[in-house]
Amino acid sequence: MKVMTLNFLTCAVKNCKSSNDSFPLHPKEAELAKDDIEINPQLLINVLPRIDWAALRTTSTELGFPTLPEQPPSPEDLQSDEALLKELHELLMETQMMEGKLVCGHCGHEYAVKNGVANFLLPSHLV
Amino acid sequence: MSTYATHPCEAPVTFLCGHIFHKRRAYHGPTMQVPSVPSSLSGAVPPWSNNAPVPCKLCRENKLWEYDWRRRVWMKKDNVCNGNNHPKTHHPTAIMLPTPDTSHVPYQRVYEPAEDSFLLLDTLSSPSETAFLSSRFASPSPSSPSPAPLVLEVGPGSGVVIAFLTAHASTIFGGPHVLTTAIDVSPFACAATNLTVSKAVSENTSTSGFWTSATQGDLVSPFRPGSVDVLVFNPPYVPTPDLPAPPPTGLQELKDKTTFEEDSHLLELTYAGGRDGMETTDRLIEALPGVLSERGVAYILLCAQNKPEEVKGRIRAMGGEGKWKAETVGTSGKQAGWEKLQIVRVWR
Repeated sequence: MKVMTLNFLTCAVKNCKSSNDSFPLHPKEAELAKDDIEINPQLLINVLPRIDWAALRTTSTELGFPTLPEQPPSPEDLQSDEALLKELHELLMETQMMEGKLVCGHCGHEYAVKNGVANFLLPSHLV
Repeated sequence: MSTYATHPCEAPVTFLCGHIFHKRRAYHGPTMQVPSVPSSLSGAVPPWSNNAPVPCKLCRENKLWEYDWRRRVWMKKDNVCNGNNHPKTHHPTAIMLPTPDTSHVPYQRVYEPAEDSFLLLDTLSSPSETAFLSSRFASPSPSSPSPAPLVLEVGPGSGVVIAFLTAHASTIFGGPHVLTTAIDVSPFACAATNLTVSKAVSENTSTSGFWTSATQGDLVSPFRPGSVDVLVFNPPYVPTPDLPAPPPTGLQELKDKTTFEEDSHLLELTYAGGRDGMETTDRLIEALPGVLSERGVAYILLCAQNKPEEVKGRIRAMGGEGKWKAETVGTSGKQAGWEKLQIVRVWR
């Protein structure tokens, strides 16, 4: 699963939805892979407004990527800052989590990631 | 001899063997009788064409357009149709967005694209829907980017629909800056979908959106509130006495060998809809206000036995009069005055 997906996913347990701690999920024992994709600045500029920047910063740090600036860059910043553009491209578009776990910060439930697919099916006592 | 309950939309079928795959085909009669043209497409011209029907020069019948059901393309012949004793000198031209390749999908445990899947492709690429989607999601100009929409297919199976939407994002959504994703309870469907989409994207790089990856889960349960802009759902819509149980732990991971019972269970999950065939669809509709963004749109496929008019009425009544709209935007021909299958668009 692409790292970008972590920006859209939260804990599947109903009671966790309202808690701030359930997002973003925390990667654990993550094995990463990198796809080679041509950089597309316009796509990144269109994607950024829908990214939760604070959550992306957390994910980036937890996966061992360089710390992102505190504020999301504007389209102009992105066009002029090639290093940041490359960094975001690599993190959001190219990096995949292949194996590991995603942990909810509220209930502590661990979702397994196998063969690049995260499993959000809950055991019956949590449904 | 065992007799299966048949899909009430279809003619009764009796089978000697108990193979669930046949049972599934029995529910969906038309997929057994390939080549079968969805009846809405058996007209003289493609539904999206503004051309008046052009008769064949020899027999005067409106047969110059023909729908290739398997490849999902319209074929146009120059002057004469394929009638008896007609000269075969004309090469037909294929016109339409190609169907993604799903030849790698293990159909013994993943739903094979059928009339319902193709109705979704046709509806979502029809002029009226592409116009609707483009006006809602395309960036007005490069200098004022609109946030890239997130397109989610729930229960993609083979992945044919979401691969089609990803590969032809420019045509359908008015621009390639679209994120796509999918969620399915079956690990085999997730793997198949990832592969189908990658293949389709590699063949259509210039028009493709950005595929993020398939996730395993129940309906929209792990998606953040308000995160989905376009949701597409081809539900398990066949009325059955009971809903199948969710996949047990042993069926939540990819494995090389599955038993016949496990395959049957996975296929049952693709079609069995419980009471009125609506038990799963109703749960999804209930989740829509939470998961759809303000500009969000959902496309839901229904069959006649789902009582589509009542379903639309229930959606329109959600959250008070006038808040939600529900309209039929695509149908597969009529049978005894009923639309067999239809696509309902739901939006605020």
